[in-house]
Amino acid sequence: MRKVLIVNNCLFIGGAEKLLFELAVFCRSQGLEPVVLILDNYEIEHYDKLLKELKIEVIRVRLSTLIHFRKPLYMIRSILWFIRLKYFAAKTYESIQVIGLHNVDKVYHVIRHPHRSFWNVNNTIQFYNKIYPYQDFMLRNPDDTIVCINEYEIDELYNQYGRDVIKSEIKLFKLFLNDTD
Amino acid sequence: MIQINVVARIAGDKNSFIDIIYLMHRIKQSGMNDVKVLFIGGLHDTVVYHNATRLSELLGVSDRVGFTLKSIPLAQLPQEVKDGYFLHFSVGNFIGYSAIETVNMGFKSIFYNADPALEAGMTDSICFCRNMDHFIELIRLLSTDRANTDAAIIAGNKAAKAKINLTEDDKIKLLSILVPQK
Repeated sequence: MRKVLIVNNCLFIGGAEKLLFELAVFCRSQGLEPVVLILDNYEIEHYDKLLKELKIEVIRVRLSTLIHFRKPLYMIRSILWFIRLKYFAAKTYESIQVIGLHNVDKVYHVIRHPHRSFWNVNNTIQFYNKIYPYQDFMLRNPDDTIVCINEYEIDELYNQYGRDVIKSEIKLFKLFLNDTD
Repeated sequence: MIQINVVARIAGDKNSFIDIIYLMHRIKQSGMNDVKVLFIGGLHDTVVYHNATRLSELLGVSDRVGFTLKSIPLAQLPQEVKDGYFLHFSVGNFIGYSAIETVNMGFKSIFYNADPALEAGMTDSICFCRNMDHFIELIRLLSTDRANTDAAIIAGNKAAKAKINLTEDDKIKLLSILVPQK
């Protein structure tokens, strides 16, 4: 089955995590196999249970700091995943979906793949002085896609970083529910 | 009594508490005494919580401000809370998942614009409040004409709910993101 890797840093109750969950459920409905990768966080959280009920694989690894001698099994697992993501992700997954631009700098140089989508889940009003805190390198690769969840985000990105910097394709996709009451 | 509910964990990345406590102060100043707000969410940051409770004391609205201090699934909330108004911050016309979920569950939902720069282009709907004055006016309408105002909010929520579903075109577009052909 074709796999899609969805990356975030937690699974507690929150908007970004709800987006992750809905994306995973949508993948399933379309015959895709979602795999959820949680970075640098080994807690069991709200959506772990819901994803488990759907038999969706959740992997928790540290990618920012691989050395972790106090938990050698975690360390070995992280190193294996680091290698897998760096050298074999393109062969394993149809695409990489990173939820939140705040997570992109953690994986930008680790997960190599020709089809990476970075979901922007924040507007500038959520940040001090209405300025995105993200480094611009993550917007420069024309093979990557930035997915904005509202039209304001697109204007905000172009206004802050400029069209000469943003080389990634920008797409707009709304928040959604797979099952509405 | 007008019961306003705000679903938000008490955490450092949430700045809604100060704004809403100040709103409660403005509502009190306006002479409306039948309004209460309940913050529904877990306690993740005691500093944020203490600042919020201290501000409500200073503004004299402590008796109108409550906290559950734990996360509670919406379906498990007491009926009197469910019958209240779920207040969510919006960015212009954009509403996030907490708002989508209360709309989807049929709870009366109100959206309060957090970005003053986007006021001018906002939807002309009673449930979208452009600014603080607009929100206070909505509370006044609820105080004076609850039935008609409720009906207008419910109609506005239905319009918002209609946009949540994925159309066939949406599905094709989302698939093109998940399984790009380029």
